Amino acid sequence: MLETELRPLAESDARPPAGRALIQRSLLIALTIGMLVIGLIVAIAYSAMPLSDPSLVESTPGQLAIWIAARNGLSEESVLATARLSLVAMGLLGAVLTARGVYALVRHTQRSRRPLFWALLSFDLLLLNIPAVPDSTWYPLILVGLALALVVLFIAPGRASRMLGVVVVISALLLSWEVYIALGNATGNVLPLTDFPWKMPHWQNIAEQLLQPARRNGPLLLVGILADAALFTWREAFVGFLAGSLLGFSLGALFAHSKLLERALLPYAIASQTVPILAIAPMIVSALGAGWLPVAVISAYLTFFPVTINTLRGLLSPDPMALDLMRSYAAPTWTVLWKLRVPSALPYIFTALKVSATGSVVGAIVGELPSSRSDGLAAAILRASGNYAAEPEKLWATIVMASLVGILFFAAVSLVERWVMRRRPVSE
Amino acid sequence: MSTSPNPTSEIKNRKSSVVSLQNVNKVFDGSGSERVVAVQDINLEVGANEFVSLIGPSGCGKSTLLRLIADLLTPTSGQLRVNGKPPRQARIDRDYGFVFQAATLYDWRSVRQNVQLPLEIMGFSPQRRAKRAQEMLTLVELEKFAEHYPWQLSGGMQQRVAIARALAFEPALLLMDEPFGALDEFTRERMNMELLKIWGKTGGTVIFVTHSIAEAVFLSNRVVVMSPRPGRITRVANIDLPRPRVFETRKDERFFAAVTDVRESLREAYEA
Repeated sequence: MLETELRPLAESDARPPAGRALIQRSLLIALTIGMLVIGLIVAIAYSAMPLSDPSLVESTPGQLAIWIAARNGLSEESVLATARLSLVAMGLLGAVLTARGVYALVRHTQRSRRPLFWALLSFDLLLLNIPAVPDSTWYPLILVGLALALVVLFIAPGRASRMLGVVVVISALLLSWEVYIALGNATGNVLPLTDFPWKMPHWQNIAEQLLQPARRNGPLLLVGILADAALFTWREAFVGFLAGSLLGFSLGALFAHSKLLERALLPYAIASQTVPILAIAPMIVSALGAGWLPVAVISAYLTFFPVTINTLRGLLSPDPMALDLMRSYAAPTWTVLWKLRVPSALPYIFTALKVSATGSVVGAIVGELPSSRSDGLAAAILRASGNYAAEPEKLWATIVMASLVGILFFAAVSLVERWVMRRRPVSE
Repeated sequence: MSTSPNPTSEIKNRKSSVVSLQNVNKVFDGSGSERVVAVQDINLEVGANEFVSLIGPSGCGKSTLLRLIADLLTPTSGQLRVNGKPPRQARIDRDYGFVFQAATLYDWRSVRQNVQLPLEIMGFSPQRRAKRAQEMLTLVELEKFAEHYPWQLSGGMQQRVAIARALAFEPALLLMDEPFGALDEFTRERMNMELLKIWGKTGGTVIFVTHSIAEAVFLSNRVVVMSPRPGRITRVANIDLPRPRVFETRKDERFFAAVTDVRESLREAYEA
């Protein structure tokens, strides 16, 4: 009886396509072949490119190569040749991954989204590496390829994973950004923000900046410096996250068991979140002295509230019959909490923890400002914004790194959640 | 088919009553002046090893009555005794097992862990927990599904797990609140047989709430007929069908007669 219930539904991709499906599929294959050709053209063009071509020299690996040559006393030619090779490889990678997409479309259309997703990623990689030098042929081609990839992914059948959604949105934003700049340049900069390049830098330039020294001819790459700063800030944020979550959970559990305490204290918890953090951060710093502690406290301050609210909601979420069951066992309050209320609350608590993970990073950055911590992201942001007009890409690169910390923290909490909830029914 | 218009007179002969209710009333204070009399003047004695069903249309207070016995609700007035104790004491002494309308299994626990839940709370040693859970799963014939999770089981199987859980700590009294109400007719009939088989092995007293006449007649020694607004007992019907009751029992003329009898009482109660 159960065997049949548990068996997954058979995939029905063997069915031959008919009518509209056939047209859709042919269109998909044609567009994907277009991407494949673009990948190949880029690979071939770069393989035959002279080492002095601006499309090579200004590219992300090209600029990195020049810095490496200068640092190590190598000849620019040999290192640039390696950069050229890496660009050829990226073009080929795009072609190969797209070819896999074409194969998937021909063989089993219903599951073609995943390989096409990888093809999209390879075009994102090309966009971040090939420079938008004036009159470049290759840069517009990449934009066309990326646009094709997005269209194909949009109409292709198959499962849409969350990761796919995230990457598609980011790619679409990158593409719109670049197309907007191109349109602005083509129309004589009448569009807002396109009159000076520093208002909207190319994303290739931002990526390039990450792989350039933090200071002119300095020994360290910006990405390395920023990674150190990010780790530094994340450690403070993590302590704050732990403390804030613990506090939030305890308050939620307290409120769940005492209506009186909830009525009395919850308004203050809400009020605490309406006080501008920028105003109280200096007070906390002057009270606790410089160091990591005030930063973690400020971070915890931004963390605890969502956890409190969701813990309260989650602990009160079990169905009355589930509670009656516990009552019929004459189970003590403590047992009901650990064996019923907390397991029922976990989905709510994890939702809050994910919000808090990103909040704690923001809190740590805000907290670093008044405590003049010079090794964290706050200092990096200050440095980069002081120099914005000259090197706008550096601030953008710093912002990318700062949001990456929040995103990775969020993803880590999501992973823990998935592990903890692995035995629960999937509710998608 | 004998009927006793006054149930207490017959009870005098019983040696001990497991559940005893005398003039029990339950009134819910609604918002404002709205007072709902859920059950009124309930007198009922249930003896050891009896299988008693409470039947009646929705709103007749049969679930309320069961919850009063289980101390999930407190009576407004009247005398209520479970194993000779106040219901609260009986609950604290874990004198009864309760099976709800829904299986109420905890999603994050496997079938085995669900059956072990009351044993954990009652402080059984891990070895005894494992042994009892295994015995119970064998009893409800779900050994093979011990490591499954509730959401992987059908409704009937989930309710069997709930029964195994209720019996795990060997209570002498089993309270069941429309346990098969959500199941389809075929599954329900099968579950009725299963329940009788289990009861045949474990013994004990069962009080069973249902709104299915056939189910009540098939399972019980006595069927308590209730009428709504306010919930009262209008009749207690003795069911004299021989045991063991099997598939063929449902085709027996005496079964039909008993069903008709109970149906008539329900109609009278409703029209009164």
